[in-house]
Amino acid sequence: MEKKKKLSKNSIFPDAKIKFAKVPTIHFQDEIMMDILRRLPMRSILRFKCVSKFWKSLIDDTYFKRTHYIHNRDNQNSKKILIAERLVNKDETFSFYTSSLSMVEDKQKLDWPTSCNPVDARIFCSCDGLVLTRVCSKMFDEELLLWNPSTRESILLPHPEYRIMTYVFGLEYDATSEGYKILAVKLNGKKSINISIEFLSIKRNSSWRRIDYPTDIQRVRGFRDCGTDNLAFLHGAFHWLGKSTSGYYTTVSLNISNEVYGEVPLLKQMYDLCPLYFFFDHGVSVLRGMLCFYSTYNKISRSTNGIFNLWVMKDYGVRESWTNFIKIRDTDLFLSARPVYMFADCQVLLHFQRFGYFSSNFTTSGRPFDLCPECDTTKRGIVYAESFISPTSLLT
Amino acid sequence: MSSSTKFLTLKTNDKEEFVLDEAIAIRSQTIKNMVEDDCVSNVIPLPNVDSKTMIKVIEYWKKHSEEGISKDKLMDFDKAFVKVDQSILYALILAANFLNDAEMLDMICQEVANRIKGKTPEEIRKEFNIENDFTPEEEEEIRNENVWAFE
Repeated sequence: MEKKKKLSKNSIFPDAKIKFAKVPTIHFQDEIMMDILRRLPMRSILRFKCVSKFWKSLIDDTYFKRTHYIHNRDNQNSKKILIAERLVNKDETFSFYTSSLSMVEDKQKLDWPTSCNPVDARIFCSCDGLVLTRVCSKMFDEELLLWNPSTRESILLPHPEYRIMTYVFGLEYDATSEGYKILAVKLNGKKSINISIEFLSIKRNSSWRRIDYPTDIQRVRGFRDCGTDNLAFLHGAFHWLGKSTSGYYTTVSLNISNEVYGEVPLLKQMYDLCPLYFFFDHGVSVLRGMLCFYSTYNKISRSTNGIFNLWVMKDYGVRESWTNFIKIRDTDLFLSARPVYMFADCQVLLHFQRFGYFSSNFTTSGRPFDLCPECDTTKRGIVYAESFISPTSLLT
Repeated sequence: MSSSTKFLTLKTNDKEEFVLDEAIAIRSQTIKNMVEDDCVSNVIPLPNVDSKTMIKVIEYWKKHSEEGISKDKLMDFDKAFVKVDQSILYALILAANFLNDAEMLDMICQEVANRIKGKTPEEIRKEFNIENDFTPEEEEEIRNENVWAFE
């Protein structure tokens, strides 16, 4: 008898009423219902809001939205890739689509985030399911948008000082100011022009704010641009590759909260090539929470055999922890290859372009750099997790 | 001989008794807590689980406790395991939740999600026996918020 008492006191059988419910009158606890719902694609979740008032209240719940995002962020199978695709030869058709990272057949075309009829677009970076993108309606009429491709809501952002394509962007949440911040670094500009660096806090009536840039760090050149698609964010700071006036390469870091600069050292052997080789492309990025340095280079005499190297810094800030993670030699690698995402099995999703072609595509480490069958297609994209965050709500 | 092997008796709500190796039964966090709290002198009652469901649960536990079983084999097993009737799947969710087996619950919730993701709201109501308590105007308003989700 005593033991029985102890059982009920320990509440091993709580909510007996609910748990005794039997199929087919299904009544799961809210927690189980949410566990099922957060595994669904956003399209299904938004559709199921009109099942009943109870389902709507579950989906609108702040706790559900938060756990939904965490589930998507931490689960490789629910990760998505957002791709901007342009068919080069066929009347310049342009489209955005998303697909799940694990299944290509899941491809879904997205409506344009603006009502205008765009001719070009570029996806820069993403954070918490929000995507920073540039949409170009006519040749020089460009817009900067913060877009949630999962809910299809977007807002227009003010322009930084120079043309958008001259910047490399980073987007992150700053816990100190409790808001999202965008950093724009003018790394694609002409060598003679000083690097301009600007912050934008995403809130109502905010504008770009220019900050000082260290005078002794110059920009590096990569294939067609500075070699970097977006700023790498880790340890509370944005990172990019720079070159000191005395010739050594370094990673510049800028803290998102206190806006203090720092440097993360590289090993000389990572960027110091023997004179027989020359660089096409190099930059820094972040893969699974680790800072990484990537490079593509070729032998001057044999331009058809390229080498791709990926280094990861296992302990942030510890110079000796740089490790050569991937080295690929490929006859088709006369091009630039940049890491996009690292899978659970340590395979890396690479985006590559080829000299002499306008097309670009994705591949994974270990598979060939093959543009066919889509050799007239330019694809660029980022990996993101679906979230409910509303860009409009950030402006209130 | 194997004095270390302890057996537990689990009693389902339809009065069936299952004798199970303790090492296997403690895949259930609920049972594990009871064992650790030393409150399992004889029979463990499982008032929320019927024998039909318990047979499935034990089948899953035994397979996942097999020594040296390959990942591929387990994946094949899991795939076949969830290929059951809706009602069994829902009973398994309730059982996995009560027994507090996170791994099994995760797998079955995913299976339910896969099954319902393509359905219309009307089909969902039928599936879960839910009454539509919106007025037509209210429902229309929700549909208009995200027209693309209904295409």
